[in-house]
Amino acid sequence: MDSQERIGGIKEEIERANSTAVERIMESEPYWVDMELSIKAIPGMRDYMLLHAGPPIKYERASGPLRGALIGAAIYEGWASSPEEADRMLRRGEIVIKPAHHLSSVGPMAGVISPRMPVYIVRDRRNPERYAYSNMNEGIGRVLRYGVYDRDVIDRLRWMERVLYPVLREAIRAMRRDDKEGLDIKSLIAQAIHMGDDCHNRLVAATTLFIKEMAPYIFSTDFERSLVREAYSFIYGNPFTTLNIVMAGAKVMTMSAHGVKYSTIVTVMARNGTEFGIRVSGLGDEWFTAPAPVPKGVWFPGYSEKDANPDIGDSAITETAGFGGFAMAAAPAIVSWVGGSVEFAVENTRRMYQITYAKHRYFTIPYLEMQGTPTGIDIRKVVATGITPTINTGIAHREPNKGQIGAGIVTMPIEPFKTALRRFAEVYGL
Amino acid sequence: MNNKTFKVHSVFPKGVYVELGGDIVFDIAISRVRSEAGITINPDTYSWWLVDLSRYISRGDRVIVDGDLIALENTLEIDLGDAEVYIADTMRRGKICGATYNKEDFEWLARKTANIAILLEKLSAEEAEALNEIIRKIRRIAGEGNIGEDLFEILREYIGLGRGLTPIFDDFASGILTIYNSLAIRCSGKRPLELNIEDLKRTTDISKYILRNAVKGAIYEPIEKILSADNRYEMLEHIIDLLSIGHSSGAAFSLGVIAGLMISI
Repeated sequence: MDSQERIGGIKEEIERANSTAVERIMESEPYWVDMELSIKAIPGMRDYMLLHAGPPIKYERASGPLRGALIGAAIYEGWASSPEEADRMLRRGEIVIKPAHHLSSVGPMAGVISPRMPVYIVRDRRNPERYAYSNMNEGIGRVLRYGVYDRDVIDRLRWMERVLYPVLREAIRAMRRDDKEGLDIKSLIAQAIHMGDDCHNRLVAATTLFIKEMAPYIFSTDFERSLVREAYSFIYGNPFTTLNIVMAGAKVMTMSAHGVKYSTIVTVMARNGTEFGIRVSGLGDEWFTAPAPVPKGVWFPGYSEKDANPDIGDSAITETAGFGGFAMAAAPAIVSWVGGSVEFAVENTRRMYQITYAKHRYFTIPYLEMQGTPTGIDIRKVVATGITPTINTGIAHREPNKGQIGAGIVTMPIEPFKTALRRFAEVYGL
Repeated sequence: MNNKTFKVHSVFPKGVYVELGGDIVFDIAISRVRSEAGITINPDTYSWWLVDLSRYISRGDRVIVDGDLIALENTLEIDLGDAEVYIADTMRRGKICGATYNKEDFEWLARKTANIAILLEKLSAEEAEALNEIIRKIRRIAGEGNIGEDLFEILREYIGLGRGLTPIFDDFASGILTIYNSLAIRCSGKRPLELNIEDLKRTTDISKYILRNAVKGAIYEPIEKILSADNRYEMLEHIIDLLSIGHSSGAAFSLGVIAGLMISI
């Protein structure tokens, strides 16, 4: 076979593979089915192990907010009694750190998950063997995921473990006893997008829908009324409650597309605050990385870009699955939180069509005549156009224990896509 | 020079794609954008530049190309005449002249570049093969020593060939000329090719403009990176950057750059 014929053959294989991968993303059916402590729920999780957002990194190279969150988690677990002791243990390798993605898990911002943290368990109804996990959302500002480890943060995490987790676990189990599969995350996202959310940085509708679905079960639990009210008030007061749930849903969707031979579709985009990394369906578990960019932001009072850490978090899994920043045209109100203009929000969605394989069958945007959201980032299209994914994001202070200082927009570097394309050419003999 | 009017197909960070007869035909690299209101958009503010640019230009707008000037109705002018280029004298050539690249390296680069361009649907397999055939021809004449006259004959033969407002062969020729006229003198003591582009009747005005700049050996940043690469793998990495230019332009230009390197070093 001559070279032209062979390349023609590979192009056909890529087309078939990408069609399969993106079909799987769209047809995956993630359901929130249960909650458990991560050490019991997540295969591979063990004592003295902490999961973190983004590609692998050594503690010494970790950014301020990631170090802060790791320190806070060590204190929360009772492994260390002070930040200094936690820092020493992490430096000596007495506490192992590992990307959450390696254990089918995701977490926003620092994304730190410790063994005794409760996690949402999300299952793919299409493939009941496929699970993904995410931790519980603490709200905004001075929280662990933004690298804060003070007493208030640790107390809140312990309250979440003691009160919020058991109430929600009982609620989801009651829902399932009611002949339901669990909470249908895909349907929640699709509806929320129609109601003005992008489901990454705007989840007002998603959380309202969540409350509508879950409230009857929350109030049917046998817990003391005051505790149930506490839990309900916390959910009600935190529009980001559903972020972690939809992220686990997005992880299930993208996992279903991973490992398709010849596919050039991105199945992971994540940042650890130092590096941005991607994984590609047809290229196994290899990470392709580049330095993480600093977002353009709307700053909390007293802060500016010079205080900002480079982008961090696994939440770009939302864009990888075809919503989040890619659905910003559906969420014009988001610009009051992340900056830019409504025109930009619409333009960003339009631009992302140029680097994606398909329009989502179920996530549709009313303002764009019900077109599907851009879905399935194709490394070939990124390199061919020079357009890289633009997403919205929270912004952490670059130092540990300072917290969130804004929210904004960030455009990913092209290098990982180029490197992945070059590797693709090697792996498939081009 | 006659004015030409085109329709904007899409706006990208690196420029504007315009179309003619339904085809995307040319990407206009923008170094400076000036509006009637006196607003200058700074390309350094990269991620916001696109947003700003899209306020002035959108799909379906009509642009007029008149020599070095691109104008959008009465609201915007894009002046290519002042485009910043790195001319041969300012570039770092040390590495490339002293480098130990050999025939196999450039053949490997040409093969990889063509394959990736096909993969990205920048070139068809037939177009890639046609350019490879021309590369083989150029290598043969380079081996015979009379590069100037014979290369000019090849340009005469193929100029204007291929699709696009800057035909594929012209983009390829721009790559060769850019590299040859910036490297041949310094690396091999050869004379630069002095071509009268106006003699090349069959091509378009925009293509002639680009070829004229190529004859000057004008090197801009992405080419400088290719020339500064430490090995063929790094070179390929930078060549991939060029592939995002235009539809087929970047791919054909890249193969021209590689052909230029083959005959210049």
